[in-house]
Amino acid sequence: MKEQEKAVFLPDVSRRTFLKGLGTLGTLGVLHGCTTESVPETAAPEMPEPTGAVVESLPQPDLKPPSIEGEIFAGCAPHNCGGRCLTKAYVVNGVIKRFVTDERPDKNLVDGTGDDPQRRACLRCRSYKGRLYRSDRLTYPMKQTKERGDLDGFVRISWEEAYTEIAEKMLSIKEKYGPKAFYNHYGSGDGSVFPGYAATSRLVNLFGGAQEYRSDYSWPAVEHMSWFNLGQNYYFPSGNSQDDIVNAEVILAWSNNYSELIWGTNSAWYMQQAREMGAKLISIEARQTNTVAGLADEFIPVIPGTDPALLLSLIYVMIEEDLLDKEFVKKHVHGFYDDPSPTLYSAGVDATKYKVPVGASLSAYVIGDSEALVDGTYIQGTSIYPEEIYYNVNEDDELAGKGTPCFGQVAKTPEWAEKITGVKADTIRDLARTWATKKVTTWIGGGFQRCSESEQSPWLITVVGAITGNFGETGRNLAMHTDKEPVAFAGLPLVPNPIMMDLVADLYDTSNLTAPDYTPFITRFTFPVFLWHDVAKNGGTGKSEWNDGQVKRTKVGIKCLMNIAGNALLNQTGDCNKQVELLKDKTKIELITVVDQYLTPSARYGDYLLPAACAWEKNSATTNWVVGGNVIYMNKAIEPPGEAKPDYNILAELAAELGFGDEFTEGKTTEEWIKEQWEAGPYAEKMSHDDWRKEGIISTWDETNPTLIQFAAFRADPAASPLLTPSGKIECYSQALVEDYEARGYDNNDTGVTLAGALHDGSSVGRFVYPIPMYIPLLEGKHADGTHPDVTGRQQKGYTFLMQANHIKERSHSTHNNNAYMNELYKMDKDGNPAFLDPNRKLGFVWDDDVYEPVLINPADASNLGIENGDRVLVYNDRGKIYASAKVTQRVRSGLVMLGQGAWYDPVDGIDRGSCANTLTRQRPSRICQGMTLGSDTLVAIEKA
Amino acid sequence: MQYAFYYDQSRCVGCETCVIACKDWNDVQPGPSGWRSKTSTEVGEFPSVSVYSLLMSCNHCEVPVCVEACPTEAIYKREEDGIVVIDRTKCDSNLECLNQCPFGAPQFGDDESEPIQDSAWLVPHPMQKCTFCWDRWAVGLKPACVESCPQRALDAGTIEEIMEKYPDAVRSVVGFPDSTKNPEGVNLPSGDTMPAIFFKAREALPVVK
Repeated sequence: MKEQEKAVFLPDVSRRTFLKGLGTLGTLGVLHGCTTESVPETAAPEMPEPTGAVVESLPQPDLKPPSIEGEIFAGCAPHNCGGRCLTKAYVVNGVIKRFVTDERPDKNLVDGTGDDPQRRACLRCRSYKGRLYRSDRLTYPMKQTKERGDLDGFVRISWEEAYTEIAEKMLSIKEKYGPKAFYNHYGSGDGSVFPGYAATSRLVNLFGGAQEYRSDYSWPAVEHMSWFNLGQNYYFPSGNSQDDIVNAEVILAWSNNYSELIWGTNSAWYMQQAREMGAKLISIEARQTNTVAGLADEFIPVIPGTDPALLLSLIYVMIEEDLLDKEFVKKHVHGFYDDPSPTLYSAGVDATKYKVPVGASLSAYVIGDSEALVDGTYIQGTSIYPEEIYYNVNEDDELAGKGTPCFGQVAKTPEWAEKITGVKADTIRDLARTWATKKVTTWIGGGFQRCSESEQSPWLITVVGAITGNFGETGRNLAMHTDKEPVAFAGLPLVPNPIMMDLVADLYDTSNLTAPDYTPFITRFTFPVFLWHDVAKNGGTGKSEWNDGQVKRTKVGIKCLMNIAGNALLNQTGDCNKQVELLKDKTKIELITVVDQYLTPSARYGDYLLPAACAWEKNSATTNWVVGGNVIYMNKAIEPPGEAKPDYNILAELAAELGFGDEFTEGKTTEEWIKEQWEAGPYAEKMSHDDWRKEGIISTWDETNPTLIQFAAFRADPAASPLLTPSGKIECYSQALVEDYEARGYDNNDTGVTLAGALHDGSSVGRFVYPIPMYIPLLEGKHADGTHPDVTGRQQKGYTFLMQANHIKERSHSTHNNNAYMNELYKMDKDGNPAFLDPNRKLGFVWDDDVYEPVLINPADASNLGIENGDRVLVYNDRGKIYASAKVTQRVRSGLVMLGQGAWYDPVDGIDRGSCANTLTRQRPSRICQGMTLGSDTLVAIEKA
Repeated sequence: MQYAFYYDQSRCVGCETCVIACKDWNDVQPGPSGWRSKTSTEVGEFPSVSVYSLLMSCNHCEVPVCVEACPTEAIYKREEDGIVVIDRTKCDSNLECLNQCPFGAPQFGDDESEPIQDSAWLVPHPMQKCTFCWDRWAVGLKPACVESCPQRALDAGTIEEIMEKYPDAVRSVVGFPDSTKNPEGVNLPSGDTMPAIFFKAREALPVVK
């Protein structure tokens, strides 16, 4: 068996000899003329063809370098990765032999050569052979004939059968439940601008519409708060163009691990350039990431989830030491100071209904009960906020009636924060003085929002940047970077959702909005994507597992789910073991159609599995995302394996089966869409379509474009250039946030709590969501002094390690988890040796034994538990158990463990051998935006296994 | 002439793109053989830890101990560019090169990663190692690792070019092995191998507040 398993992964071998059936053909058999393994009945057996694989004769003495062969195709393999970088494939005999990256001149600020850096690809795209050439690719359509998830139930069908059956079921569901039973699920695996997600959106909208989600699994709190802090036109808290970082005196990299996460092409390179040009980089982070270790001049270690306490204490120091320009703050920031008669800049908003009562401002909350800091003008009273906050949950929820501190009456001194965050009080004072007096550019990541109180950190980061004047000028940035000018290349055109306004009527009540024109529209017709499982389970019943107002208002549950290029059906959603129960229940979701390249944990639960082409197997295009400044033509270099085809084609053919193929394609292939868009866009005059296709890339800016300074006009004259918030200012008392929460169907009044004064609505009744940012401990978190509340009782149960589920450089979420080239850099066998998933393994959800994800643990903790580096360990809590391999390192704090998110869930006998972080996390949404995956709000136990 | 590497440890974030680019360019399959690899030295205790990455392949030493150690004369150093080359048809896998190389440069595949064998080989998996991308130099390109680095931490050129471009370069950094000793710590009879690599050292950062 072992002999056969070691079959060859050889690009030389004709791809036609790769997998043709569920039983893969050992290519070693091909080479040696041996027999193949037995083929299960469900597969279509096909004998290998002799390939004549060439055994290359090696160079002889007086050796000469081999010649470099192959036809070169430019492209990119974008997944849900923040980078969009250039790679070029060398193709020989229809097989990709190797990749190179951008080979244009490298022009950089640090050496004065310009500002058009090569878009160099990282290891994810350089290792792409490991993703393309595997024996377990999906190569023909299949349908499930038994219980969902049962591997034995998959049988091969033809494309025609697949389209016919799926179309019949879609029509039947539409007839029975209407369009609201349809749902195009979050599927971000293809990061091109012609992705399966967009094609599916066209399909369902042409079919009659569907329910829609908002936001994403990645940045829901950052985005939600941006809509309310900065205005609804700021989907992200975008700031200055990335080149401006070199003008900063201090760079704050807060929860920012851009060198592993990859957030924008070249972001970590700009951080390094700025350092070499004189900026000091301070990392505020939970552990020594590669970004901290490689790029930070100073490191402020903070316990995950306690960042808001740190940020509040910084504000305290700024108030106490009078470091702020108070009139500047009042002019640009709403609600930092008490403001019963505010000056508003937004037209049509009634200032008498948009006030910040005495003691209700953020400053008042920060000083708590410290009367000495009440100045009578800006801070007119001590805090009206309570000591405790409760959870807005169903009566049978484990959190019903349970309170946790929100520290309303506490002065947020550095000494208070030190006990919570572990950051020394003196360090906090120093950081506050630095932030208030220097040109500071802040670049945030998303890790600090990955918790049950996810909204507070991103909100407070913006606030501190705003009150210190770090916006709207060169070298000063609030939160995120962007391009010098937006990329103008949209991709596959969307079709409007025909039932959008009907969904607004279902899901949102605008009647109590004070400033509806300045309250985001996106929350009105959508539900938070993280709650899709609640809609699937409870939609149309008036109930919600998490007491979500919009879920309760849905008219019907999800009955037809399209899961295209996504692994959020199971793997990337919380609490995998629980999620499986929903997926198995066909009385809930009646039809799950999956389009993918591999039998991922999510794909396993499809009713129909349709095989998709990868990047390099189809023509497409991609643009940079948050930042990067390029448009890339993704050339098709090779044929897809077996019957796999581009997802655009799959959806177009399904549309044709449903009777609207022409409307779907408008008569155009992907290539024609791309060409049409290119020629209609602004870049065609610089570079012809054909030249672009050949070169693969165009830079959309260089050193000749001016640096973009976001908020410059607002800074100079906020009354003339207001933000799209109700006040026209940056908001840290956000009445609109609270009103939106209520408009989404939440009863926000907590009658068990009484405030020491009134809020904007004149009421002193306590709330579940307040209009200011606060520090609220996590459900499963830690404090430096050991006093963290234990509202769920899990500390008591012995789950005493706080797990952080972080991004790793070797995966883009769950994509690339099976890439052997990268696996061996981090995965280990039970003896701690490098290990990888065999590229020749058979199709099927049969994990390679003995390949585990590393879990990082501090040496002191490991020693106490009798764990040595490389030992296999069991990481567990009452939600699940995983195997992992211990990586003992000083780069992580005692009491914390770090596990990369995105490994593929593979439970055997109740233990997940695939080491999926979400086997251990919850499905509970965060407090305000109701989004969030809780990868850093999870207590676990760990032991040698 | 002698080609040399330059590695700026202060720029390296340990991303291992060069490791992958090397395997990809040179068609080295996943498995025990890797011509380029990362070692990471942690100094201190959390949170006051400095991490020193070292990304390295064969250093194409001016006095290559592997050449001297090989009883079958399978390894030789090219005069025209100093690249140390293995003639795999002469290697009998006696491991003497590996036993002497201070840098662990000689690599050996296995049946999974090297399933096709040349009939001229004496053993199933003769030694393999970094060629300095001599195929790329031959057409005017720098090595795959150098041109892959997202942080621009790598360079290569003749020793003269490197010394001129990086006048402050040093010959060792934290984590770099002693080029006068074999892996067992025994002095090499031939003395310093004079590895063809130059460095910029990383400071003891970050400062922890």
